[in-house]
Amino acid sequence: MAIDVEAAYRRYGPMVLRRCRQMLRDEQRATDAMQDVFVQLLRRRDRLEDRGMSSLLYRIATNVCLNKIRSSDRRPEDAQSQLLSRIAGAGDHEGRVEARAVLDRLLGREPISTTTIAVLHLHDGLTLQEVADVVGLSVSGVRKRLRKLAASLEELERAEGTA
Amino acid sequence: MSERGDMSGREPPELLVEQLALGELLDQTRAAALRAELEREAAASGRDRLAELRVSDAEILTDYPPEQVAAEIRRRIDRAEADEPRRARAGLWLLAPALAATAVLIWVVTRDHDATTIAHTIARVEEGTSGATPVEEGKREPTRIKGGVEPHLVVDRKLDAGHERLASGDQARPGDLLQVSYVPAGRDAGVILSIDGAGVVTLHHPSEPTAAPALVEGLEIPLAHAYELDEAPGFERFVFVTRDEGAVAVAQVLAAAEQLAANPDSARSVPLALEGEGWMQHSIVLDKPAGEGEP
Repeated sequence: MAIDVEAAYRRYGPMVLRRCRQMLRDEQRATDAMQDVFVQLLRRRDRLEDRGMSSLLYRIATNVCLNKIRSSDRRPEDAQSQLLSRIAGAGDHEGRVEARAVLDRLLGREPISTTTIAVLHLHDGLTLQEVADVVGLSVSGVRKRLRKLAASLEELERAEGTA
Repeated sequence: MSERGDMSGREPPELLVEQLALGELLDQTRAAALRAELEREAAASGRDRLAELRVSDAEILTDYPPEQVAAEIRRRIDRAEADEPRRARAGLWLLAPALAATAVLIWVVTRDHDATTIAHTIARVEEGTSGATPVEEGKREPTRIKGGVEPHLVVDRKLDAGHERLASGDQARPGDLLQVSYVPAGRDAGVILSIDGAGVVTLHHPSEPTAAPALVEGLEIPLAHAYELDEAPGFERFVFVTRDEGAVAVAQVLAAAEQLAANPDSARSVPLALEGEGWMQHSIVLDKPAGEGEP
């Protein structure tokens, strides 16, 4: 399914930029992230689903921004930014086997990120059902992911407490 | 916060408002409720969120014109694809063991399933059975290899193009996306759950413990959502519980599963201990390769 870059940006670009602004709180980083989101979208162009791109773009934007937060040494300025920072850190602490991540990319699978699920529920306030609808998992699958992340967050806090 | 998406009492999430503005909030009931909530908010506070989005759209497209942004996006794609051959070679080197394992897996699951000895094992729990006494091979009654007469599950693994059907005993890896379907065989109620090697029980049908376990008529009914295998070690066992007579109580089935899951030695193969008559259980167990996953 071919995508017209300009048309896709015209329709979805503002939504994506608003999302990146909300998460990164910095205009330059947000526009950079927004462009990365469309790069990721367009590189998946032969594997897109047919049910409207807003959910997919929102997920990609969330993931791109979490990666930027995780690799940034900026101190969070408010409670919401602190929450995002902790979720990003817990996701990194959860850890993914490098070979599996490479395999996912080569097979063209978009990994369904636990941290993205956590942001949608804990930061954005979506219900478990709404999160499930956005990411295409079952409610029970979403709940299981959040339990795992909560365990990672607790482990991270314990490690920081003893550091 | 209401799990049913009831908008009253909470600020509508940004994503849902964006999707409403784009016309991509596909659930019409939810869209109508959200629109009504936004209209109430506008009447009460003067804040019209949909109008704000339209203004913001215009500002962004003026500040960041589509032609310029599209050109920059194309440049980034070109740069990424120019780097790709180097990364792909490195990736393939890292992947050699995984690809070898994948090749074996593909061979295993494309064999003729009718000819395999690993097929669906149906354990009929006799009336009055209680407690968690393990049932030994050969003493399970009746144990049959069936194609569709009794309620059972089927599990498909999603591939990049299409899917492949898995059988009990097949291997699966963390990250595999599975589509679970059931064959109701005339039953109108049933529970589907999974037990993993870490002792975690996950309910798949119904979606909530308080929901009715109603089954849909048909041949193979897929569950509404795919299920991604996580890092739990050992195995993932999918269990379908129905009943010839009497009600199927979701709480009872979950409690039996939790009790079973607590013992890793029996969680993989022992039937759930369910009080009462007429219970039927069918399991499909997917094994995870040794050394992968975390307890």
